[in-house]
Amino acid sequence: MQHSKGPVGLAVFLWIVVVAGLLYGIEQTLRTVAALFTG
Amino acid sequence: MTALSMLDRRRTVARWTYNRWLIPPAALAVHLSIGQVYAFSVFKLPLVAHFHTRLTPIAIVFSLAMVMLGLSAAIAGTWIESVGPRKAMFVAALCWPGGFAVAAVGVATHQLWLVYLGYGVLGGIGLGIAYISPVSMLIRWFPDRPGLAAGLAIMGFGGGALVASPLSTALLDHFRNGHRNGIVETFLVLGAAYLVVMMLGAFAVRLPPEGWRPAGWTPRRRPRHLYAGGDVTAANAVRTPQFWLLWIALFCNVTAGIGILEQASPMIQDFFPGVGPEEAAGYVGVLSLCNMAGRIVWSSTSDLIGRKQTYLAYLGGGMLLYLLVAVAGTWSVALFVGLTGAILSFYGGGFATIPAYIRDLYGSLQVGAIHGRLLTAWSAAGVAGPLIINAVADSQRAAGRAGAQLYTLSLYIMVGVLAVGLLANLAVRPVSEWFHEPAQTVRPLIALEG
Repeated sequence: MQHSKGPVGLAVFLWIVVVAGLLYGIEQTLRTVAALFTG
Repeated sequence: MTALSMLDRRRTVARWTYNRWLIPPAALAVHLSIGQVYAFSVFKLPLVAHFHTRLTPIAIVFSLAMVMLGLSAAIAGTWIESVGPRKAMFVAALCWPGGFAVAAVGVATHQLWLVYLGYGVLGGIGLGIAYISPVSMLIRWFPDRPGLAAGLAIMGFGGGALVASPLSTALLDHFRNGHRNGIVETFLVLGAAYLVVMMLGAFAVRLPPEGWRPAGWTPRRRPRHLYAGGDVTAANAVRTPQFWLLWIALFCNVTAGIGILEQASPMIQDFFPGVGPEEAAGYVGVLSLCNMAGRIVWSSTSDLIGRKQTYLAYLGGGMLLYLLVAVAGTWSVALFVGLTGAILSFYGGGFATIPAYIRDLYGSLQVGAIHGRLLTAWSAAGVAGPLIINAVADSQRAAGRAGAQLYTLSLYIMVGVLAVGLLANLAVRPVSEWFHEPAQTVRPLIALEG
């Protein structure tokens, strides 16, 4: 069985991409949520 | 051929000391990409104007994608288990963005059937394969916390819409120019972005080596009282009553949640005449956040209290919440938002808890394949939930009722639906040993599966 070394850098980069994406989505959603309570 | 051999299962097996926390972002990348499907409504009105048609023909695009999701997950589940997550995620990374490209051609040439074929059929196949392929792999890396593992991946599906909705709106605004509506360019940019992100996820994915366990962890003899000590294949799982009890419990939980999700904007405006479309959009945002948070929070909690107990909380708690919405929902906006937000967190939690529930009942041999077959409950609920809420609201309107009264009957119907799910969940018992694979069969199968 061939054991691959595993690109740690790629996985770390993906962590940054998905966390940044989620934070962007949450921040954009909270902007619309604010309208519900301030409108 | 050398490049394609990179996709082989044996090439994806990690070394023994590989850090398992490097695996979740690969699953999250794929689920965040396909979660865009929940933001399809952003394109509804631009597509209606572009094709000079009504809402229903455009709504078929989304429905087709959801039906294909369920079908492809059910049909391709066993194939995904046999070829491994990387090849499956690679195929999904071609289908989902490919669907955007074909749909863009359809929009550019004014051929609606190409949008059905692209986004609905091709994209839908990509959705089903991408949805289940990372989940069983993550559960193998986290045998001590299967609920957390599945929740991490499936949370991404809920989060995908949070990202795609504002991003699609911004792209449409950016590309809109004179009489150009920007749909083609937006589809192409989204497709290209998802192609890159999903491919990165496919190449970052790793399977644990055979026999791998987290350091210092030993499996309990009877985890959470449901595991009878044997592994069951997908072909045999569908012959057990437990599969159909889980199917009913999932169907009821999804039907109850999707009914609110689909009607959220008009519903809050009917409950509170002072709430306008902009505030209603904020309410939809709250529900999306609760849906996403429920996936990780409740699924992780199920590792502590057990899967059956967690589903009892979803279904029993859901009944109570629906009753409160029917009785006291009009008292205040904050109360209404809180109650329905909790319902949506149970809806998301139900999706994220089901893979670990499958693992508890049937062992880890073919979680992905069984999960795929179980997702047909989602497709069925996607039809039933909105149908109940819309049909009852229409009949109530015809009877001269208005405002919150339009929904009272359907809220009580949802209490009944959840009660059926609760009974099904209560009836779940460990799977009979008659269905277990013999130990000498399981070892070679596990070696093959990785």
